[in-house]
Amino acid sequence: MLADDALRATADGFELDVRLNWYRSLPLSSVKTLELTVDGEAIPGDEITFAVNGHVYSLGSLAERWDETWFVLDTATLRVRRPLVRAGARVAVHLKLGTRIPYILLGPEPLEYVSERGRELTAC
Amino acid sequence: MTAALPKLGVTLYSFTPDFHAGRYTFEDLVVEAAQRGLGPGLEVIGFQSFRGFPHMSREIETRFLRLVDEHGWELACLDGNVDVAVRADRLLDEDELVEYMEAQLAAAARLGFPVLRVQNQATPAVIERLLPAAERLRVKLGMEIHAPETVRSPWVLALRELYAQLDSPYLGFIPDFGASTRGISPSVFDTFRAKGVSEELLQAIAQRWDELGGRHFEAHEEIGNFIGLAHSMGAGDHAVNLAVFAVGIHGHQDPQAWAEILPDVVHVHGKFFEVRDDGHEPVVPIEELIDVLVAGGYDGYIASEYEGWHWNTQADAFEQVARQQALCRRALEKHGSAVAR
Repeated sequence: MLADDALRATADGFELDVRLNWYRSLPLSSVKTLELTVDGEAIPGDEITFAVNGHVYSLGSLAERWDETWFVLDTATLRVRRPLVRAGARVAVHLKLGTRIPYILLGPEPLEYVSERGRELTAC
Repeated sequence: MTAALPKLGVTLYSFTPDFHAGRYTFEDLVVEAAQRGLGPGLEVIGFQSFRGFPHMSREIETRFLRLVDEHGWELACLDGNVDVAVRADRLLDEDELVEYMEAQLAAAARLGFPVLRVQNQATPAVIERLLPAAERLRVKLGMEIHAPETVRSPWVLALRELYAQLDSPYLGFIPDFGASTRGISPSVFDTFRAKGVSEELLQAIAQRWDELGGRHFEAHEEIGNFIGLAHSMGAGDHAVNLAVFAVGIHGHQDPQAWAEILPDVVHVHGKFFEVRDDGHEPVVPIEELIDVLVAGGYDGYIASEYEGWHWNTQADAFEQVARQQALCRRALEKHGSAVAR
């Protein structure tokens, strides 16, 4: 979910590369929960954009993108405009990703597969 | 004259961690598995292996088929997914789901796979409506029966009734060997013991699993019960995985029960968790399962499906598949002359 080189400082904030937490590709609409904490500071969802397939989406709009696929080997890039990360700094990143698995229903609701990763990353 | 025996093969799902980590591309896996003699049958998960599935580029399809040809693979099964909950706001209706699955049938036909694996979110009504496309495209619909479901699960009984009524060679089942296990794989317990889960909890899980064997239960309810049990005994973050591994991939069905549906079996998932140094799988009764298949006249593919990678991150999946196929080969050789590699 988070590789060693996943974190980058940018001019006005930072970017974090994220991998899927399931064995196969899923529609973007599967991304149900995405919570990011950087050095203990929770980033509000409306400050995070999600870039994949050359498109940039707000987290809130992913639910509508059921006709677009997040390929299982591709990274999606989270972008945050908040000067929390400097290049070369060690940063504690915590990510919670919950994906709705579209072919597994638990009763009427699809299974949400939730993964959490906490890592110290060095920003590029 | 001896009757034809089942043929061996492999699903590339067995190598998921190698693929995700970038140690092998999809195309590398097609080549590597062939070079290790893990064929002849090849099974692939559409949404895992093919970028753009089910609408892949012509280049992706051409390159795949060239490798299949060069390395002597026989296409056995394309795994589809019945993504009824692809939308976030509601489930697909029947028309939409039929259309969604027809695209996967068409992908199987373009590539030359004889079977499309489907899953139980495809109701009998959806299956019936997919049949004309399956017949036109000459691709069989193979409904997977996976733990904890069995040949007697209510939805399977409903489908068996439909199959009897429609009587088409393009409708069938795919048994998964993981539905017929003797217990939870010891490799699961080894892994969680090493992570610090208590012996008392592991024993409680094993005991509870044994108790489930005697009764019908709803998978999601029982997974919830196992999660509760694991939490109450201090499993913490391991509770969900322990529950899913215990209930969701280790089934209780009597191996002999597959005989009830064997005339309709179009493909088999040779699920296993660990073949040890002594050459045996501790909980999947592979020899007995193969005896049942042979006795029922099944002569399709058994695709080895290694699933121990979910918890064992050290094992070499290629070696595991090779060991399991050696076991299958020994079991098959009892029934006839040498089995082709």
